[in-house]
Amino acid sequence: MTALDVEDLSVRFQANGRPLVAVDRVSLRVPSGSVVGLVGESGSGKSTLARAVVGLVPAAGGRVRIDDADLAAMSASERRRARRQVQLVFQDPSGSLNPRMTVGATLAEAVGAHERLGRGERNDKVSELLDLVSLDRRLAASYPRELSGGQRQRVAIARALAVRPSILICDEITSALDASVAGAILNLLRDLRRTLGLSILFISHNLAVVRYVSDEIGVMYAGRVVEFGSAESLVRSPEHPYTQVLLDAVPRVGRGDHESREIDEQESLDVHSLTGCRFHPRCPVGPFADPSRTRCASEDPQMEAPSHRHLAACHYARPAGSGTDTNSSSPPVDRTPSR
Amino acid sequence: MARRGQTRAALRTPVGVVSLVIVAGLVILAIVAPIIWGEEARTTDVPHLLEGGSAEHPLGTDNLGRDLLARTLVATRLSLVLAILAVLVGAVIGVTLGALPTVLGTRASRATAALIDFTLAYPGLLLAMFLAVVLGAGPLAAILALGIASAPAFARLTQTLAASIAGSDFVAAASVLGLSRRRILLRHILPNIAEPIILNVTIAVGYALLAMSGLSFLGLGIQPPSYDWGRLLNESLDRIYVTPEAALGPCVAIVIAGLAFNGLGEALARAASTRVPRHRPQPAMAEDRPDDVTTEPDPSATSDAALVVKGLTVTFPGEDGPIVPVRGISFSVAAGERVAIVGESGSGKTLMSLAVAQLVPHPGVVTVDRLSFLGTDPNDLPSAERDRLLGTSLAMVFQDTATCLNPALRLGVQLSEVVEVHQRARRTDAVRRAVDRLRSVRLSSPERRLRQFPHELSGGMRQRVVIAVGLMGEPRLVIADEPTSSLDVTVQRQILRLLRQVGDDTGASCLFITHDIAVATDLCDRVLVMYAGRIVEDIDAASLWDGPAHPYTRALLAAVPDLETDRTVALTSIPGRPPDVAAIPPGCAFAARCSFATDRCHVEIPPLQVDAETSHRVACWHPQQGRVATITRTKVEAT
Repeated sequence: MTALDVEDLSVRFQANGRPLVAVDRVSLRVPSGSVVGLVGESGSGKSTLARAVVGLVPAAGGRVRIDDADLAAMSASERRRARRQVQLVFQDPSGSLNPRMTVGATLAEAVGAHERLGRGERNDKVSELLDLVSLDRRLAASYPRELSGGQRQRVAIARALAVRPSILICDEITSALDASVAGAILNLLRDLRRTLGLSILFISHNLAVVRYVSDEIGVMYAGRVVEFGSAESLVRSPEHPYTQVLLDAVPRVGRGDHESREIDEQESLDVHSLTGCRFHPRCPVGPFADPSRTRCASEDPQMEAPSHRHLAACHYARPAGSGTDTNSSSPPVDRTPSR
Repeated sequence: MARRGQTRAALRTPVGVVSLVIVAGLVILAIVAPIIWGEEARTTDVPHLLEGGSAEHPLGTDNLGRDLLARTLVATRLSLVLAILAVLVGAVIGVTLGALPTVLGTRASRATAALIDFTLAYPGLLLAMFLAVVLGAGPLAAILALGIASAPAFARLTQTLAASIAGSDFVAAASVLGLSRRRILLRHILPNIAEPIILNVTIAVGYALLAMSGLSFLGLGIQPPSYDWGRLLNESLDRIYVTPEAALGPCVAIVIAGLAFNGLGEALARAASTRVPRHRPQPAMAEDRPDDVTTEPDPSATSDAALVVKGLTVTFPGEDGPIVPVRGISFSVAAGERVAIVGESGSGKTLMSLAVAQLVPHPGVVTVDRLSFLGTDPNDLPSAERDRLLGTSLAMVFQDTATCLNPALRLGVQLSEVVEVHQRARRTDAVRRAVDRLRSVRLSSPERRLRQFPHELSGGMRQRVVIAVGLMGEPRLVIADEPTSSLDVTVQRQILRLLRQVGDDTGASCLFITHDIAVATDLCDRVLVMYAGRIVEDIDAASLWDGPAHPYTRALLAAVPDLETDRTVALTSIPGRPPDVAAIPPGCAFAARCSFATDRCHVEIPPLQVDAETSHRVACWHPQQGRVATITRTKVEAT
């Protein structure tokens, strides 16, 4: 059982010659054995955060701790070993498997990265891994192109599990799959978590999927976590207006058209360089809806001090428990700032 | 193997065959010529010095009376060997240099890239001549000079290819596993770029032949008494006006060999690019003929229907008999009605919509018992009228907004095109209408948008423009194929609302194709569920709530979690995978994955039966009832 801690992590890119803060001082804890979900629109920085945690993109600041051990304080070889405990499963299983390697070769290579084994032992491990993700052992001889999307994603998960990680990061792993297959992958993830005691960071743009698999959920907007809370409390009583908009946008069977808060799509607006709250130009309860709320455009809202587990970075956040459903039309209550 | 078969097929083009034959001939010649004609090429014949062509010496003799035809043939070996060696030297240096950036750290890789850029800026042949002079005359120097000179091109190619592979997810996954960079390069990158590099090596042999002959011709390459084609050319050029046939031999040899290697490389490259990346469908498990496709009944067709389709079938020729991805579909869309087609990938939903719009790609064949669009069958109309009808009354909205707008044209042109072509509207009227339509899809400052290019807009805004293009005519039917699948949920919501509003404003019907059953019920009045090319259920969106009858529809509903799904219970999953369109089993196509299936299901195709009262249609021998059990939905009521 291992916990993952991300503290003040920042990632910067150069976009069109200008610096872009894709991940802006994000702090997040995945407690040992639990599933933390991360939702947000495209460009919110959730995938970049995942890549920074596993070391695929360099972090510009902050630190990553695995079980309270700071990666930055380790020697290169220690870090390599520690990083192996955190594995990433990618969105598109057809792109994340080498088309020229059989399933068996892919898995055997991953097993070999973890421990030196003879050929026979390695083949046994490959069979075990295929069993673990409920794939037929005979598929070891197949190439990725011969498998269905769901089977490929199972192979990708098996490869990640080959090095016996304690933390799994799943980046949109069901987005490229058909509905009938996606459910089975989510079930597999639940089983693996239980049987292997994995800690999981589950990233998706689909709030319903995130809610289903996660214990706690973080909502990202423009490189920041703007709300964090337990899955039930975040879905039932969202505090941040952006979370409320996201919840309203989830399509539901049998609901038909309904009144919902809608937000304008961000035009070529550079949200990352805004002053004040980055959401304020689109906020349905912000300064464009209520002119008296000028501080949204000038003052950057911070997350509340972690006195309780449900946090929101909004000057006018609705305190948890004041509303009981997502369709409530009662206006958010003005909360006195903590500073 | 399929791949090898395809390569063979591509090589069977005229250029491929001719090149392959010539190259094979050259190789044989290179091996046997010195054995057969070696003696003759060495024999001096003093009475016949510097002669022109004769019966004894067809190409004449050189200054020692040696037969030039024999010498040209014998020189094949040395010429080819030198060229191939030079290319190999170049390829080894180039590929190593080009692959280095993926193995080295950031700074070293930048330096390598800069070195490649720098050397590329220098003309290759000049570099080779310069190096040949520096390294001294002789075959080894020539090989090295030419190899080094051709290395930058290989390096650049390798660098570009490797960079594209290095950015792929499987390389990222390997690096997360902690594999060494060397291993990633050897196992993951090089095998995936080997093919284009080998092709380029083949083409480069042709160029190297020319370049090596050039060096020898200039006196920098091969030195007497050795000789290659370039050397022979050099020796016979000073008497080109007296005995032109003496220079002819090496000239023809160089041209033919150069062209043959180039042609072979091109043919191989074409073979590689036409190679189908996916595996081919497995042979049909059952005897599958289009004539087992039965027309589905459709009771809901009314006289004012915008679209009536009866027995729509799309067939593609396949290796093992025809492939039928759409199998006798019947449905209708009433005026102003919004109908969703829900299905997974491979269910035939997109092909079906393309067939309605007369857009099925070659070699697909569409057969239909009855097709009526606004009361007329487009197939009965002369082609100009048909285009006019479909161009103005039917609007198509596709998933990928990045490709369905022309990136090089301003939005104004793309919008006004439709009415200028089909309705012969004047420019100013067309522009006025474009502004109006952009406003109706709720894009801000429409006048400014007309001058913008597609890339200046976000994905959601582009989708609005695509819808606006559809509205430029007077659409009576909008076919929207996954219009929101690549958009964020918040934007998806707006596009759905826009489609609904467009329908309400213009009275146009909508055929909405999606894989997401929840999205379908958000927008549409009726949902058609497709599976393996057939409609398996046709149900009111509102009734979906109370429980659909077909096990597949029910499983789809239960497989997707929503905000009220019980988190302690596993999702219902559908075992197996959808059948291959080339091998759809007999009986009900879903039977193999269905928990209610009986023997009958595996044999007999269930007809799409109509409930006379509700016009609910379902194709199942064991229709189910009641709400989908595993989902405990509590309707959210506003308080």
